[in-house]
Amino acid sequence: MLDPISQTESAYRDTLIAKAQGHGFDALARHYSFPRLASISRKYWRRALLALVFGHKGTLGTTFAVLEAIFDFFAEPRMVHRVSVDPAKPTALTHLDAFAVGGAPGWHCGHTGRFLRCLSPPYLDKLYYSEHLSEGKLYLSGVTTSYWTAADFSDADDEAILQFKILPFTFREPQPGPPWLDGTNDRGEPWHPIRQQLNLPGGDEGFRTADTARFEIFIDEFIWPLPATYLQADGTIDRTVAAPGQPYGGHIMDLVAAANDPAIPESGDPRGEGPHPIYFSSGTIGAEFFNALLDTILASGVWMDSVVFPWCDEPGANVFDPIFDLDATKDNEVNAGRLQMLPGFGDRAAQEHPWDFQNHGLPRNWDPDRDINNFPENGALTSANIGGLDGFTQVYAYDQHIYFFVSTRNYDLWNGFVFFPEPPRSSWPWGGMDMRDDADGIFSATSATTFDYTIDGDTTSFSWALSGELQPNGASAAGYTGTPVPGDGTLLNSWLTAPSSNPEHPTMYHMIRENGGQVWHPHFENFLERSILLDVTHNNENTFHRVGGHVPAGIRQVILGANQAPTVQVGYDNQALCWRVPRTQIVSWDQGLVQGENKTGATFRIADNQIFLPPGQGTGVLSETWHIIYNNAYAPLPAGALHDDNASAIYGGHAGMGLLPGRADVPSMDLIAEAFNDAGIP
Amino acid sequence: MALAITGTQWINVTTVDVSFNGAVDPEVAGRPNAWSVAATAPAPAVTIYGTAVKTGGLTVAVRIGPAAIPGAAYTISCDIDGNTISVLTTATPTLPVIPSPEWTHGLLRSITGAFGEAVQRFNGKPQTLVCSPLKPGDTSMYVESTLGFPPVGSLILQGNRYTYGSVSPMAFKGIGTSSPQFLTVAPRALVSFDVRSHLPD
Repeated sequence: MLDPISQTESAYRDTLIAKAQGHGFDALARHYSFPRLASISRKYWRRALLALVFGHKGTLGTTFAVLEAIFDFFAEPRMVHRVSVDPAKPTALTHLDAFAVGGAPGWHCGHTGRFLRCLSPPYLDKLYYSEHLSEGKLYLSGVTTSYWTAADFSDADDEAILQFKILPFTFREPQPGPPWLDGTNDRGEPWHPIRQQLNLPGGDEGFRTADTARFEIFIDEFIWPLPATYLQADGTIDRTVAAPGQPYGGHIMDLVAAANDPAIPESGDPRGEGPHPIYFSSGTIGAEFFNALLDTILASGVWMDSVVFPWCDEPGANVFDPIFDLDATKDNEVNAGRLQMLPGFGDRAAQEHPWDFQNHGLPRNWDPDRDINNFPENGALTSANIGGLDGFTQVYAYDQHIYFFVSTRNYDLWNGFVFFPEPPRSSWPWGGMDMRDDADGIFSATSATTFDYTIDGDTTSFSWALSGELQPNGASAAGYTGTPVPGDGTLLNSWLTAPSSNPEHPTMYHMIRENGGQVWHPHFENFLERSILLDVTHNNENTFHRVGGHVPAGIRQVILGANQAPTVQVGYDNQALCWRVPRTQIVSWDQGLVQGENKTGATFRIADNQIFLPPGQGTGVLSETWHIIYNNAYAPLPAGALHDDNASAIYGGHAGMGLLPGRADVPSMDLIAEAFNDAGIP
Repeated sequence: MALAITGTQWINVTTVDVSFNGAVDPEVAGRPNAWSVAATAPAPAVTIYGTAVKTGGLTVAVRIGPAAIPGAAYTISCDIDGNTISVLTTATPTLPVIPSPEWTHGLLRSITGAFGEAVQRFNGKPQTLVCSPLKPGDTSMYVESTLGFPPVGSLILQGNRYTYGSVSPMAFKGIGTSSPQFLTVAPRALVSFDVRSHLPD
């Protein structure tokens, strides 16, 4: 018998608040209409439930006991302090620990205006209230009220060392209520609630929100700290380097469901398989779940409100230790937990912190039917910042396939396509790419090293940002640090040889793949044979109004070329190349795209013995070995793209806003899929 | 001359003779409370649950349980007169391991064992037997096995309630009792886990 608790005993215990465990306890809490929040451990919820069930519900004492029990979850591990007292200053506490959060040992403003519970005899369990600081001491209220006890340590031993727990909340009752009862109103006239006419002219106002009894809780926002490095923007940050010891995460879970639905795991192995939940306050200004829950324990008619706020404005005024064990030598800055609200929720938090599309992409709950108004019939496959005459690339999830559309009318010399569904995982996926000086110096070794480029006549610099995207920052920053090595001009060697700056990758192709990207190129036999041509409307190039069918053999021959410089020439005025890949064949990110998401890839060209010339000037014959062409050169430059007036661009990771309705009711997608099926392309 | 361990000799996987350079006090070294053993990973933990000082006082037969792993290293320590004497010893690799009858699964034994296990799981509690005399003031209680007992809890032994703070494979450590214990508890006394006093969290 490896379990000390038998099944009979376990069943018996499931009926006892003090002994029930696991979901048995959660069920008990639900039955008492006080369901547990997953972020609070059962140890503390048990205390709260005991106080609630065996106390006088609706009274201040019980309410306070419940609150204290719940917030002990935060306070006991992190806000218990050793202090000494001086009989000569009977209301003062001297801090004994090297309390250094924020760099200021001892007390500071974050400790004032709080309830304190003494945990040591002879003042055990007495509740005090801290008033102010003076000469490094924390002074408690010396007056007894109905809320707290007067501090008086005049009879303490000189060397007494006490422990105090500081509560992370306080409360007030700005409207003591209850609403007027039968009697007289403030004018001395008889008043009977039965005659009230709520919200009608002349009606009684006693029941309006502003006039009824209110109970307000103020919660220190630092009880929900969030390490700055906890939620990495993407995979470019190695968490074992940035902040060793930090937990995995974070899975944002339903507070109540996680604790009360056995089908939903509360959490997984902290160092292994998840989920690894992290719970935030529901906004920066209100703890809505406390509102909803604690409202049930207040007396009928009492309005409940809770406010989450920084206790004082002094820098570093976080009196809580971090709950995460971060390496002190690393980035262990702790920020208050703030949940960035999704668009459309419209509350005050969302207004303060609108959704950051640039860094976070499409929100998961984005609904094209809701968020796009007046979407045109037949679904023009366009996006807000795809424009001009220079072509486009689109990546499109539809019916178990991922479709790639490329039209490069002005820059029609391309023969490959690179796509990163997410920002690359390493610092610079192109570090090993051969870079050879171009005639106009665009790809000079110097400029390539520092990422200085002239964009539409303006010199702009880019640096590698933590988000994984190239971000313009106004100043040059080192990025590519490898030594550009010219190609030998004989083979498509750039993709089949080890990157010069990162030789641990067998080939450039491997490096792209290991950075989460995908390459399509004739050399890999994954490209043209699986493509069809689409007709696009002139000047409205993003609308596929007719499917041209499978790429004819003659065109394929042109595309493939007779030598080792294949060039796709399908980007003319009314054509786009389209190919598709079953999601199941792209194991690395087949789940990463969902219908309704749109991303953009970049075309590139690897060619021998050619020189790139501006559009309309033909094809050169000199020594250029490669170009990566961004298709949207004249459109507003997206983050992640580098280009100049002519061509050029490395990595066309399109910035966020390519919103496309990947919906089954877009007729042209049906036609396109049908064309693939007819051509026998899986 | 300070007392020191001069050598060890493994008799079998449960017994090792520890030799000293001088005679030891049988009242101290003859009780397992003065001894401790730490297994070197990955060998599993074991407990010294019995000791016997041999004639002359120069050698102590130390009983180890569960059985030691042949070839594994163990650090055996003895507290005598406030001094801790330790020796790192390797269980002789060629020691024979005698299969426990517990692992011979006859048909009837298996069936009755399964029924017993089911009944135990349904409405039982962990129980074991004292295997070394428990004297008043002892802080360790040596039993046949602590399997199934939680790391911290309470025990019922001959009507008295004992608390313990930790377990090793064959001992409850940190024994305390609110009732005065006057008599030595002999081996084979039944030890039961006090389920009712076991609280969560």
